[in-house]
Amino acid sequence: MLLKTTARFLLSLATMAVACGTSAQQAAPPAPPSRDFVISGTLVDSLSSQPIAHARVAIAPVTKRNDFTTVITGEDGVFSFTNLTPGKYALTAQARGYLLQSFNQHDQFASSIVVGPDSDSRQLLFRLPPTCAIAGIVTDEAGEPVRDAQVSLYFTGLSAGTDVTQSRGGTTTDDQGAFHFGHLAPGHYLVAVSARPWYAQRPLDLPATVPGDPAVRSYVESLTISQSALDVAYPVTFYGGATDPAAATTLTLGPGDRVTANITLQPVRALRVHLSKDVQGTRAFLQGSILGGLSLPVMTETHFSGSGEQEIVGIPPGRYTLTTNEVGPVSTREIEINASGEIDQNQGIVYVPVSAKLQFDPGTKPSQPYVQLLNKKTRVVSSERVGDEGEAVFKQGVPPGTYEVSINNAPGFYLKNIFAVGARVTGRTIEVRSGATVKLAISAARGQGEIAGIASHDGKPSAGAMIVLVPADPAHNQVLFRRDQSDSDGSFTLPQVVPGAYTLLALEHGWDLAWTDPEVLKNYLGRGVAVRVQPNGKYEVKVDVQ
Amino acid sequence: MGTRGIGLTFLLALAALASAQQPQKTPVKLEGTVINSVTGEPVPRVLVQVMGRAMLTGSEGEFSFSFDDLPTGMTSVVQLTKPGYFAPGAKARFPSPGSTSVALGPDTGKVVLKLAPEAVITGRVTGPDDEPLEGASVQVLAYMSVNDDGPPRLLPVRGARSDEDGNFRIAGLSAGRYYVTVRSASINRNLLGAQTAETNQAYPPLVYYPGTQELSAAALVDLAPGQRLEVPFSLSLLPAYKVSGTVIAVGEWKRVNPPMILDGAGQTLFAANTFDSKTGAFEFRVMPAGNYSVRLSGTDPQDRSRFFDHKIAISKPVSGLKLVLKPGLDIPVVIRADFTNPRQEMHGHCTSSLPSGGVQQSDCSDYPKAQVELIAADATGLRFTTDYGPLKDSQVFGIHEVAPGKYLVRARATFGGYVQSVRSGSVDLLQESLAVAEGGTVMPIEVVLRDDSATLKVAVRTEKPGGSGAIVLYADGAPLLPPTRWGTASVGSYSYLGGLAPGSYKVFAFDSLDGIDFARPDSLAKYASHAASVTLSPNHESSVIVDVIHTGD
Repeated sequence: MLLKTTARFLLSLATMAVACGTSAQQAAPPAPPSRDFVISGTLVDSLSSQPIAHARVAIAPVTKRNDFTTVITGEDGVFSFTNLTPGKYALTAQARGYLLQSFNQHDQFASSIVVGPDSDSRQLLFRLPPTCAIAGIVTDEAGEPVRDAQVSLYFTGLSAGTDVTQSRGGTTTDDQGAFHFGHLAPGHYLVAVSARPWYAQRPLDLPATVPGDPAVRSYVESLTISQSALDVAYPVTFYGGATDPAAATTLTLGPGDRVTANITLQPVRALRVHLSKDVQGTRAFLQGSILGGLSLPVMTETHFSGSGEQEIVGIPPGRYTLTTNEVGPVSTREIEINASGEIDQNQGIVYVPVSAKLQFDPGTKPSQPYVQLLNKKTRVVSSERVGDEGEAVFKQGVPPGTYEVSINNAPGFYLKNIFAVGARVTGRTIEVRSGATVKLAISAARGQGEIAGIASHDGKPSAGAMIVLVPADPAHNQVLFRRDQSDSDGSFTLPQVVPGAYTLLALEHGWDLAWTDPEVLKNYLGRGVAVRVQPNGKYEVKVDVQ
Repeated sequence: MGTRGIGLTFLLALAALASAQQPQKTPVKLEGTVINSVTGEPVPRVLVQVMGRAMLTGSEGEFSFSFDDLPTGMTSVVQLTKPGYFAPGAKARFPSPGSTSVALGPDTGKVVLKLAPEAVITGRVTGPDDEPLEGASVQVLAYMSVNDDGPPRLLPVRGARSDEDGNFRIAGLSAGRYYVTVRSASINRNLLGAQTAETNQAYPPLVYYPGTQELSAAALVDLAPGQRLEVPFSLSLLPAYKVSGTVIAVGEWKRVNPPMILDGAGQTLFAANTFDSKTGAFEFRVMPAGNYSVRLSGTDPQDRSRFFDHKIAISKPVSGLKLVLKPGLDIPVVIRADFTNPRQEMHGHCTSSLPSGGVQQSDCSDYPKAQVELIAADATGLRFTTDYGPLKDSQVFGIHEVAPGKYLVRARATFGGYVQSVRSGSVDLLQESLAVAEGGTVMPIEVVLRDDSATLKVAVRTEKPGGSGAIVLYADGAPLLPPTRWGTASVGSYSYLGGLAPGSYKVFAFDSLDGIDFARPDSLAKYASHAASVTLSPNHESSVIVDVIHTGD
């Protein structure tokens, strides 16, 4: 995680001016150099601008990030570190009710504080955003609380330059049907509930082997009829009452917001499916699937008949991934279940088996590399470890789609070339089609490059700008992007760059942009700096802030 | 919660029964209401299951079933289920849905069935200066008889974690007596840049309500059905010290495990932070001041898990602590079979697997004729048994590597006969427990088997509908071990209990065993006046008639 940059005295003054309207201090020239190097300032709530007391504020040199010096703020929220050696320091704060943050943090980047004769690191205004929370109560169709319901939280919105929906964990309701998600960052969220009606009955299907005596048969039938009325299930229900994720109500949380999200569940007739012989496996496993690939718990049950046939009961209508495994291969498919019946080989979208063989440049091999496939549409990443022989097998397969291939956990190495059988390759992107079997041959080479430089505006160094390195053909090479935040002296570093052709951009307000979108980028590329990175190359670049 | 569909076998049995009887032309009705056993108010929306049918009651707890083609006078079990409710009388076990027996017939009026509401414990976990502590693991423990033999074990029933404000809530508790504990290991104490002075303090690893680290000083909270109880915890930071040393393993060990700190019920609290299995060096980085039980454990060359506990008191940093792991005591077991009845040669068929693979078959004459088990007298649930499998001449038959402690001894005849006596030296192990002292010796356990056993014919009798009783036998001569259960007898038929040791017994018949805690010696005491007393003679069959005890009253 990159934690970098610094704030200049001017920058912090400007921030104070924005917060308070007028400032008691004018834009004064830097204070005369003093022998005692100090980092000091006030920690305030980013919403109310009130000082935060009893907070922990810590500094650590960027060269030794675990070497902390900590102070606890008093009622005035003031922190002060004295007798410092000149250098760059990471400044971080932690307080109850607030997110743990570094100074001027954006995504995983932040501003380091430069301490030395030429900079003033006093009277910094450190704004900490209060955390948000979502709490609610789940009730059933009779208004009674639903206990032990699984509640899942999703973050939806811009994250690292792309519009995503990501899981943020889950919890279970208590006896009052209550759930609570705390320590949340501001943003947009979806809440989904998955539960099983506590009174649900799952009558057994009457097999043909019940004695044919009609009196007996009709008696047994009359018993199962009463249970069938209770053979119900709750569909996955989102906050707002929708059972279709596309119609779900988004909860928008600003800093410090504590939002209530109550959800009522309505039962529907439960469906049951049995697996045809060609789909039978030693184990069938059903998971809810929403929003293109995010999985959700479902509370279904599995019955086995005398002949070993498997039936899954208690299914609410919806979209699912069904995984069955024979003794050998695993088969996963996405299916829509809207009616009871049989599932056979032809139904649903079957995941495509993918295997990869990785070849490394002669020399030291990384110990535990991973091959990753990033689904361009759903943004879901599938990751598989590379064995000692260089093989990686995606056991469950992947849904058909377009994927960007990359290697991970292999410091110093980059993906040089991909050859594919059963999929079309464009650069590092592969197109996986239904029914194919994909075999990839990947060669990995050593020698990532590094770019360093200065970002400036009107000839003066520019701090806090978002530096982004855009690869040629950005649409197909998202994993090649690199980012940084410029320091107080305008400097930045981009390590671990995969050799290739790039355009370097410096964007003042880049943090709020969908910068992975080529449509957005094309407005800025014209004024960027072209850099061609060779293996192990090191470059110094000057770039103008846009 | 009992929400599974009724098994097909059951349905078929019912169907067979139905078609076998003469069907009545008038439908048999079962109607009634379900009420809260504490308030008397109707309980809405209860799942009522009877004779394979299921329905939800209305808002006034009312239900109504109508059965065509069912004989009258049948009794059936009615099962009631509702989240937050239990069978009245379900005590401190993993509670089950309520069930009662009801007779179906034209004379059954509207029945009133009861459910007991759950109890709820809430509270707040705070540190110094009333600072809320998030992530503390709060657990509710109860004594529970797990195998229905041996003393009850102290086990967690339910738990919850404290939230950002330190609050927690634990529901789903049936009436009973509980300990409430807080474990601090999971408390969110991620302190940015914590200084050394701060990491030299820690919360006590386990605190029992109302605020002690010792089980002996803990409060047993008595919860009634429907009770709401507030249980606050205010934790203080204790000085914490580094404790390091070596585990010295005496004798042969295949593997030695890192030392672990236990709580009063034998559950693990935390393990050593570092442990070198070759040198035995271990370190606990941050151990709060207090008294602890350290368990050393390992696997011996015969792949048996063995352990040894030490008590330590920590009040300052400790280095060079030497803890010895030695195998426990071997107790020989001698079995004498005084069989007098003419017996056929054993035509048993026993199979055992050989270490080299493959199986060995025999007529069982080379197997030990009795099995002896030592059950820890405290709440830890420890057991040691004699070996199974054919006897090898070279090996001394007995119980191996028993850890020091106090034990109840249970002996069972494995191939016929009954246990007449179990002694160790002069100690009668049917009446007293066995003390195994560290470094001491234990006189061999002598088991005498006889085959002149008695048989008891039991008939149960009851006025109320629901004509069956679960038979429980209490041997006056063996008070240490819990009474034995002998299945259910129906009114109008007999149960035969065989292979009994001669002597005097009390015979009980209960309509339901749910509320009875067999592991407590006094659990049957209050029913003693309803028991039948009988004395059994060798090689003799006796009969007894017992009145069914209705535990709901």
